[in-house]
Amino acid sequence: MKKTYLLLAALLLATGLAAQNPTAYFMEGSTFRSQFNPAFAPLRGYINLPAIGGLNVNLSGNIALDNIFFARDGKLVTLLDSSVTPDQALRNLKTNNLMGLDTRINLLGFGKFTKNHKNFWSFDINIRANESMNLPKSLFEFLKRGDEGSINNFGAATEAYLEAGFNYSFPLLNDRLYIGVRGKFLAGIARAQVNYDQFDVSLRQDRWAVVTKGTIDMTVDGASVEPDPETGIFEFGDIDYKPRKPAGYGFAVDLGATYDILPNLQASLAVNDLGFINWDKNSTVSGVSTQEAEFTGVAVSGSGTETAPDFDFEMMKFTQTESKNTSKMLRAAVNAGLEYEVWNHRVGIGLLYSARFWEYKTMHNITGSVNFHPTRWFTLTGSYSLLNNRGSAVGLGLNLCPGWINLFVATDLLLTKHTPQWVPIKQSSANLTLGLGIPLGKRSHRIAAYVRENDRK
Amino acid sequence: MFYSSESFIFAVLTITSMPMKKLCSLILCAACSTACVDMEYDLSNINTDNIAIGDESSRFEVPLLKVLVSMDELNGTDGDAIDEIFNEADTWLPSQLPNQDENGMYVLVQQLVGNEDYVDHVLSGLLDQMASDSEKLDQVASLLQEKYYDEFSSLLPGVSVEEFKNEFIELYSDNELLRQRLDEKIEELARGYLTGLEVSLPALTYSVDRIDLSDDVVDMLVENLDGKEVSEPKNTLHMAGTIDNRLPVSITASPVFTPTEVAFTAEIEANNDANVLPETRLFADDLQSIVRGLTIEIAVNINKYYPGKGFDRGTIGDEKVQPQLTINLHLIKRGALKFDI
Repeated sequence: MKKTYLLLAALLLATGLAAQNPTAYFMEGSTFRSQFNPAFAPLRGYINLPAIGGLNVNLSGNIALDNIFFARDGKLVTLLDSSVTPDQALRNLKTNNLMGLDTRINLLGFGKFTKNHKNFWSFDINIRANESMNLPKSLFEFLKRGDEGSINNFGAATEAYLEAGFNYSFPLLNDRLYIGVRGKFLAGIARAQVNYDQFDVSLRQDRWAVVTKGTIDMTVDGASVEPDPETGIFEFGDIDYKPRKPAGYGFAVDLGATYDILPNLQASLAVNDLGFINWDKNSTVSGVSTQEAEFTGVAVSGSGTETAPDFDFEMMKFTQTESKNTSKMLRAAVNAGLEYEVWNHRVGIGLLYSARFWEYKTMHNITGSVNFHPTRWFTLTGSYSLLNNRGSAVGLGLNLCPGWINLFVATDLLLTKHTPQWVPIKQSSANLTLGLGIPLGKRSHRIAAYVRENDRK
Repeated sequence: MFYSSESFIFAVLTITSMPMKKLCSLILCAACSTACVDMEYDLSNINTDNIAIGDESSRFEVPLLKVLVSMDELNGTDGDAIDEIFNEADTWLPSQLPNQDENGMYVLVQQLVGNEDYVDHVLSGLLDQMASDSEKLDQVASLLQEKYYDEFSSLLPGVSVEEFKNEFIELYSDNELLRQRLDEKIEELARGYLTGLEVSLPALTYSVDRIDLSDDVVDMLVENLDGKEVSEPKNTLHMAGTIDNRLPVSITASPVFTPTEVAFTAEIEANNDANVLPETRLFADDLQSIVRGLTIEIAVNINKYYPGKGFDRGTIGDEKVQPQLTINLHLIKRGALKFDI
């Protein structure tokens, strides 16, 4: 049991360490920028330092930490704690409470401009981990007030995979249009999904009843489960696994383009993570939770009692079903940007719309940014984001790429109240992008203002 | 903050011209100065010990037991069913009874058994009614013919059993002298029956193998209960319920739930489907014992009898015997339900 939770913890930790940061989108020297749009390129070829060449964490949702945790007597308690009144717990919850985490850890990355200083190619290997969950308010109403009712459409999904991508971008239309394509081979590490389509609860004086319809799927190499021989039931923690090889393979592409509408006005558009992973049925444990149980009390008469199975809520208890090969689409994302440069390309004003298609909902983000790049090796970016027309985040980004180092960091955590672990407390989104690499090879000639005479070789 | 474009340019130039080490330090300091860490939200200090459904003001009710008592189980010590016992009492009791409430006129059975004056008053009413009410006279005559014929051999010599009823009615109505002697006999018989009514029925005993609640559900109910020593408990568990009494008798029921010491006494009104039972406090051990199996022994004392209401031995659906007493017991949990995740 502990082993499965360890896997989940590892997946979450991976998320905690590292995913799409709108503040970093307009940091033009960043080697990570082509991850947002494969038509983007850094200002010079590079080789990333292993593991820390590019970390990206993106948390987005419609609930903030202080909607979930409450400080009580020097300790932090969850909204399910009895010291949190139902009104306090439910006040800020939405009808559907969504949270998505997207993590990317760059293990290996390098890229280079071709002879014309404009065509750019790169290769990178990343670990990706995504989690998304939806917890409807009705679930918490039941948990906090004991309200009976029909709770549906709640669950959580997580997946982790390795991606090896080759990116190539090139100019067209006399350098006004750049097209970029990244092809990615994917090796699935693990995935898990628990969904409840129905969870009806009745807590009346004369009848306690529960009706559940849920499914579980977990894929990881060596996954197996031994249900209880008497009941045929297994719980999530009963799943065992011995990961030695990928549990699925897939393919994806990122497609992007930039177009100079005016000499100082550039539009960009990218669709990322268009692809799928086909998860192996032999590495998959599947189950269903279909329970209809009620307890109306034990009836006893002169002729004795009628016995029935013990009443239980049976949450997270499943009956094993036959596993199938499962093709899961990746969480695709769309980025559309517009940037206007002024003062001889020293200051840029950007506007970005991004959308990410999570398991339960598509999350939208609009970011405005001001980008200072007084010299080509330094960029400082400030951004302001609106998430799903609500919630906001102020982000700061910095890119340093002098001749011997590529360093970029961008986050919207600096100016917000956060936990000692750097998780925002009142903000429902959080982004961190960080990377370190070594510049190598030819410089970019895509931006005329940055071209120096001694670069022309 | 930058207050002019000149100062901004100066700042940028300063930054871009300083050595990398200093720049990194500056950035770090800026980050630290702008960061706002709230130590109250230390995620390494999360307490999940007290997770619960609901709060101190919550109240949950859980079905527990339904005890179905049929007419055949409500017997006197000699095995006569309760309806048979009171059927004869109906004949000996007059229509006008000494007591009345919203359910109608009634007699206090314990007074009949132990209070001579009370019985005198009742029997006086019976004799008065027999003198003026031919239907009552007919009813008594039928009973005498059926059950007490031999008792009247000296008063009505030579009258056969078949002729007894008509002869009795005629002589009782027309022969005033004989009527006084018949009254004395009737009074003796009625007194003997009414004062011999059983106030306490033999205890009803039921065994329950187990209550079909999982250990998890039981734990939810008992894990955070306040102990006996708490003066103003908020997390409590009580047994409560109702009794549907179809009988025309009011009773005092005193169930005892062994192996626990849980017991209560309840006054049950006649012909009332919602007699409320008193709340009886349970502790964790009590419920844990109860769900593992119990014996319920119910002492029944009869208080009031409402003649004329009748006993209904009807059946419900598929010839299932209609219970006369249905004891619905449920649990009331005040305060949150402990929830282990």
